[in-house]
Amino acid sequence: MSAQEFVHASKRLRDDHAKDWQRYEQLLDRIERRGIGTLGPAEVEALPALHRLVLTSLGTARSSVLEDGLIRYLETLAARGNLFVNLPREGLTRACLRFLAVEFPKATRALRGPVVLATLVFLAGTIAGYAACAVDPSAFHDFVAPGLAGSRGPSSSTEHLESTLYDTSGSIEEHLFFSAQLYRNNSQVLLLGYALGLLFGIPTLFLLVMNGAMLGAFAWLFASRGLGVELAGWILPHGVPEIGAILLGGAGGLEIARAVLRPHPEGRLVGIGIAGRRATMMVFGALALVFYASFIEGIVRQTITDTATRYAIATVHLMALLGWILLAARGPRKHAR
Amino acid sequence: MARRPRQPALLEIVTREGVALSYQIASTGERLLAFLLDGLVLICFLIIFGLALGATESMAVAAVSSMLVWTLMMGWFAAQELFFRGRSLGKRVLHLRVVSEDGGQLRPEALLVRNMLKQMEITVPLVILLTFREQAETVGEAQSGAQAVLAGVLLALNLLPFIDRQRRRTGDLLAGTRVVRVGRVRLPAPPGSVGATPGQTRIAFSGDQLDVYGVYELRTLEDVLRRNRTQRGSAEVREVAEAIRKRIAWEPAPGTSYPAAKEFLDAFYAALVRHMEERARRGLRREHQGDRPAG
Repeated sequence: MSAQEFVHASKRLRDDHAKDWQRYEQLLDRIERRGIGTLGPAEVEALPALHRLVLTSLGTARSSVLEDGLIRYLETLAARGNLFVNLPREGLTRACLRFLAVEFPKATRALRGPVVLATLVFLAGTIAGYAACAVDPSAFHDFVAPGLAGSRGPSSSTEHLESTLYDTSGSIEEHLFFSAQLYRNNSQVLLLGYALGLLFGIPTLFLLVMNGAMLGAFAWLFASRGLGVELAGWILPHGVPEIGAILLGGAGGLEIARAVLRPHPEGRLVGIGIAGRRATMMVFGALALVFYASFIEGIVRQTITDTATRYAIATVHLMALLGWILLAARGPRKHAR
Repeated sequence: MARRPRQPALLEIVTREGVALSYQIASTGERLLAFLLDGLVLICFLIIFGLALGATESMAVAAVSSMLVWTLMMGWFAAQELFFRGRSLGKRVLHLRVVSEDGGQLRPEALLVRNMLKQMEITVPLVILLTFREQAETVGEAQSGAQAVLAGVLLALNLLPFIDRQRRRTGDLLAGTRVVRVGRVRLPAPPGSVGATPGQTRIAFSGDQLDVYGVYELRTLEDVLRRNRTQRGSAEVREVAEAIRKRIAWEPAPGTSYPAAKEFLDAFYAALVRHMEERARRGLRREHQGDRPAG
């Protein structure tokens, strides 16, 4: 071959395609700076072809070009383009709706084992709390922190206990403020129970047992004064979503603990990742429940004092929650990708 | 001469088209800086809310703001990354981006998960520690003490990115994501006289002289040429040119003088690339000097 015919492979590739690479580069710059919305329709349409061209150029460069700088340039460009190609397409609203209608109930059903376990642990705590108080009334204060017990305790009069169930004092603003506080505290407890699954689930179990025991202690206190039915009416309207949320958060923590204790074949971290992703969908739902429960607790409980109505609300909540988790998004998968 | 920077951690993926690509994992320092930037903006928002809260007498406004503040603290990072598709404000400034570890589509759930865990690692323990005294009064010393210990454990989780080579937070671990630096590289000018017509140069090399080096040495030479673009030739260029000239025992054609070091290297690089391309076409690509040619 004569000297005049020879052209370096890198020069040949540059001569053929450099204009297109640079055009793609400029389009990506604009997408990164100002969003894809600023591109004209013709430019949007040109993107996939430009991306494929860059990938092809990269293939050629890797196999026949010796100039490292050019290969690195094309690698960077292809990597940037690949990110853009794989950006989430789904809007926020759609993602939220899909979460509520599909992801949450499906994740919760898939994790029924931990949910049942969390429920049993919670119930065991409740029974233990009740029994311990029945044996020794002073145990009440071991299970219920002074700030939460307030003026209620084994030494309170029955009349006083009854009055706390129908307390409607305070303005709507105060109720709202109370709701905000409840939401903050409860969501914090929920997230702790979930994340502390990482510590072999021990804090999670502890939180479940203690919450159960607190419920048991209250149940004993009011039942021993013949106020059991009234107490249930007071607790259940917000208790169904709130306790439900605690159980789901705890179940998420237990699922993570399971992955910590029984390593996945591909490695413990891989297993924790898989468990965490599955559990997180459920815990998000639990957060929404906590939010809802706080409003019920802060406002509805303080305004509706009729026990029958309270039971009706609790029943509706229970049916809706169970129906949502057990029935939603059954049937053929429509969202498979 | 053969100093190469320490290999940065990479996220290696294969695209749907079957092309292997890699991303540079962002350093812990960059991540921290991005987080501080985001946090600073958040704190500004919170201060504005705080001022509004202080200025109002209404319980309703206070209640709603208190809820908003909490939601803002919980959702600030997630909302940003969802809205800006994997880049919070701080990440934008530092050219960082959240990507899915398989290089596939980054799903909104993944962004929610990794940011919810950020609340667990940072917001929740901080709130526990900041409200410690208040909590001790409501729930008792023992329980608030236990909470403080938990807060410490949660804060300790923040050390994970320092240990993990892929710099994953717990959130990245659960969400299956990585944070990468997406640098911009401009198309570099070709090094040396590649592209110039080879016949123009008066510096010629024999096949034996061109057979001495492999691809690795060629790339090292490319780096040297890129570092020294001016024709004048630095000390490094003179040193490298002299080393090569001795190694391949090159002498100028009779009756000509020694060329300038830079001119010599440019010509040698162009001739070497051409020689190796021809060899590669015959299946004789060689990675290092002294290797036996493959094939």
